[in-house]
Amino acid sequence: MTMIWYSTIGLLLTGGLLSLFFRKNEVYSNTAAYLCSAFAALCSGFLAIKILLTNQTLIVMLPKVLPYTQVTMKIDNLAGYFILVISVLTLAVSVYSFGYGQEYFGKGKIGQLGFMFNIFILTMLLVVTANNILLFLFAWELMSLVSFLLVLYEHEYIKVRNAGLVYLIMTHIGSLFLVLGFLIMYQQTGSFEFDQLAVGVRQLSPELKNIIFIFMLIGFGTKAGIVPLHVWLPRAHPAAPSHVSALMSGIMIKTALYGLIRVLFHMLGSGSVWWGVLILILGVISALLGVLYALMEQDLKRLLAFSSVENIGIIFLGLGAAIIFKEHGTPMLSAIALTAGLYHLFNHAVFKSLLFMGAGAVHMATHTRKINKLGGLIKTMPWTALFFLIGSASISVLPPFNGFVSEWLTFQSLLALSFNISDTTIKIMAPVAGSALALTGGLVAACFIKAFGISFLALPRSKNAEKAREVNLSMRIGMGILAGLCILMGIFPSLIFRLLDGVSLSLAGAGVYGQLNGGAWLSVLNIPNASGKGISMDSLSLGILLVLAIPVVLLITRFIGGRTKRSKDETWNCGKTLIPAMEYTATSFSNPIRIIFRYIFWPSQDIIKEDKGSPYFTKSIKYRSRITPVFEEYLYRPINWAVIYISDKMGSVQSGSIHIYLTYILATIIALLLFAR
Amino acid sequence: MSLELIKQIMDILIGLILVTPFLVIGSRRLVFCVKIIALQAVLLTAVSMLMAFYTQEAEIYMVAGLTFIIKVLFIPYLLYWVIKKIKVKKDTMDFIGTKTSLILAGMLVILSFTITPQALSKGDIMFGNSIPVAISLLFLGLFEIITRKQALMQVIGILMMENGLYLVGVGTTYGMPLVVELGIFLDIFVGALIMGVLTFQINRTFDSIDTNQLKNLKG
Repeated sequence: MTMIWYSTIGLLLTGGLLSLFFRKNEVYSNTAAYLCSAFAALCSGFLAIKILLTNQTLIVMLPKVLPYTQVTMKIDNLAGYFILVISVLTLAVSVYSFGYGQEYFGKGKIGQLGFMFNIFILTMLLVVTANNILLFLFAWELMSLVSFLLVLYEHEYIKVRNAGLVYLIMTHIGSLFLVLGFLIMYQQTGSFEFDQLAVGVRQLSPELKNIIFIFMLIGFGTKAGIVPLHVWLPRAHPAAPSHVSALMSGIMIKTALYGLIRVLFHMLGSGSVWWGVLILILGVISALLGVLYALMEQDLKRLLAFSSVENIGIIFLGLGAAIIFKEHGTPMLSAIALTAGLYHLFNHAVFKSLLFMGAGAVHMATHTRKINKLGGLIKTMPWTALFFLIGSASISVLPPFNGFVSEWLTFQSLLALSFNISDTTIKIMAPVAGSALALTGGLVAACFIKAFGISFLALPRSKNAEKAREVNLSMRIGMGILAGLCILMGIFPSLIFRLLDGVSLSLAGAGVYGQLNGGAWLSVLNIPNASGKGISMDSLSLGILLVLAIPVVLLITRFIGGRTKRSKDETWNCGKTLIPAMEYTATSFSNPIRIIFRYIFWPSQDIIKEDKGSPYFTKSIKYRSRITPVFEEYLYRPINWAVIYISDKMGSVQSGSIHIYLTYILATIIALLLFAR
Repeated sequence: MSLELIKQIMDILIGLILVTPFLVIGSRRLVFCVKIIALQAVLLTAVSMLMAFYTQEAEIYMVAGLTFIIKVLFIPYLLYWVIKKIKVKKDTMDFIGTKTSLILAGMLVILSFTITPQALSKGDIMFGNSIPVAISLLFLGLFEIITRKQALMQVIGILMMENGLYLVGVGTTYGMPLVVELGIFLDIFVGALIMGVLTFQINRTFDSIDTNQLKNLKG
């Protein structure tokens, strides 16, 4: 198995280097890069499944390069699961990229794109397999930097450069806290190795554990994009090329969850209940605010990025519940909650990548990402529309797609939280979190009705949308793989439960697969309450019910509303051919929500009227509405201002004169010598 | 020669070495400063010779010889050549006036004498006075670099610092191993060469060797 692992790494390196080598010939370069990454994904995926099914642990010792440390990589169940997610996405995205790469032909940067793409995947694999603080932080930093360079790929645009800067700053703030957290652990235990570290860290005092927890939460939370550390996400993800944003949103932000789970469950072991509560609260806030901001977006990729914030929130809900259960000594329920979180992680990776690829396809065909400029694409791009619809249905928690399974499990865990835990605060909080999740689900549905409906249905709203053509075969296959997975993982949840069995056994102390009693391979897990009863659900039959409901609803509306007639006539005669200007726009679709949640959005509108010399004859009316980005305005702007102010003041220290610098040195030496007396 | 006599000669030599930086600081004439640096090197050679005589080790004789060749003959000649080429005779502009410089320099010497006993472990050191003087040389060399604007004076400052380090080595360890000394000599040899050439280049680029003008390089 070590050979498979080495060949994965080798393939990725080869792909990157070949891509650079062929950079003069864009077709070769493109093919080499993505062919290698696709095969690497097959290798690592095979390895991951083998490890998950046999519960083995693979330890790879790297040749000794640094003194005092032996750099090892360890692939256990948890790492295997993440490798599986990375592999699945890499495979689909690589297939997609054969076609999508052509979008960037003729700009002379194909070689770099292929190189960084391969290295990016390699660094993510390293992050989840590192078994040593140094290797982990090295891989983590490399992953951040490579993704930063990928975000900056189209650096000729000022917006992209700004996005890259915000991303770089935020990610390094996160790294700072990670380094601090890990160094505290090293200082207390004297070991860089994760396994030895874990033994020592478990003995630490609760106060120290709390400090480590907070540092890790901030550090990993920044990368995961929880509110209020999410500001980089809606900037950086749209700026990158779409297949890269699919990976960034799909899996890169999940590596932060890997780190959090690794530290919280493996190293810190048990802590306090309030850790779980804090994670739960952050989850609720992220989920709600994420989807609300997503609803207000008119840019397809920004909308998807905000939706990632929301989904990270949902995963946090599962994680928080798992920690609370664990602290209360109910391993079975903890295992189920953890499974819910990890399942949703996989689901989100699959459907968010699918949606980003769909957005990339739309962008390639129409050269715009503004939803208000699209429309009618279902006629010209039927395949893309179908895949985007499947992705939207999955993310909107509709059975029989995969999003339903994991969110149902998360709901169940939250409700079980209030039934099985005796603590009153949690008893009250859990249903509130559950209802927030329900509200989130509804808003997500609204959000994706907007994203799909306005972009793909009705009439084209711009010349670009009219001229759209279906994208090439490789892109359709890439999207098709993930769309198929959305359905597969929705109908056969037991597949994933089987894979997650070992993970939950090692982390939470109980396996979930056994909960499925015979023949229940279609059903979602059954969560017993205190009296041993519980309900289970399978998404296939629910899905069939839902499909059956469609004609019924149609019949009822027809019955109540009667036959509709369409008449075409002159203006003023109550009938006119439909034109794009009559359509509902994305802005108007989301307006009710903007008004309902005005305390969150602080919206402002202005109407600019231009007339032809007389107020009675209007030339044009411009309606502009925007929302106040609260976190940017009231959290980051003051910090930003303070940092710039202080830097300005400190700038005078740097005069550029050699003599002044030397004086600093002399003064320091004298001060040190006097101090040493 | 008795040990007492060696100690006394050593003290005189070290006292003379301590005088040289003040001559440099008090002077404005470049050629004079170069001569003083050469004189300092001559005194250092004498110190090494004395040390070699005391320990009877061939290596230290070699070190003394090298000191004479490089620090007394080669470097002053190089600097003299640079001065002739760039046709600057006087270091006119300074950040601090001569009197103030001399007072500050005196304070630095006092400082180095006050901190020395604590900075070193109170071991059995033969020539105790060499340490504070060496540290004074380090300080005064740095002081020279800070207060003078001309690149050439800064080269002289750094040579003075190097001489201070050499003195520390001689005073504490009866001379460092020959290999180490050789490395340092090579260092100072190349360093002086580069600095000499660099000064020449600075003059060509800025029409002056006023290092204050290097500020313009800052973005």
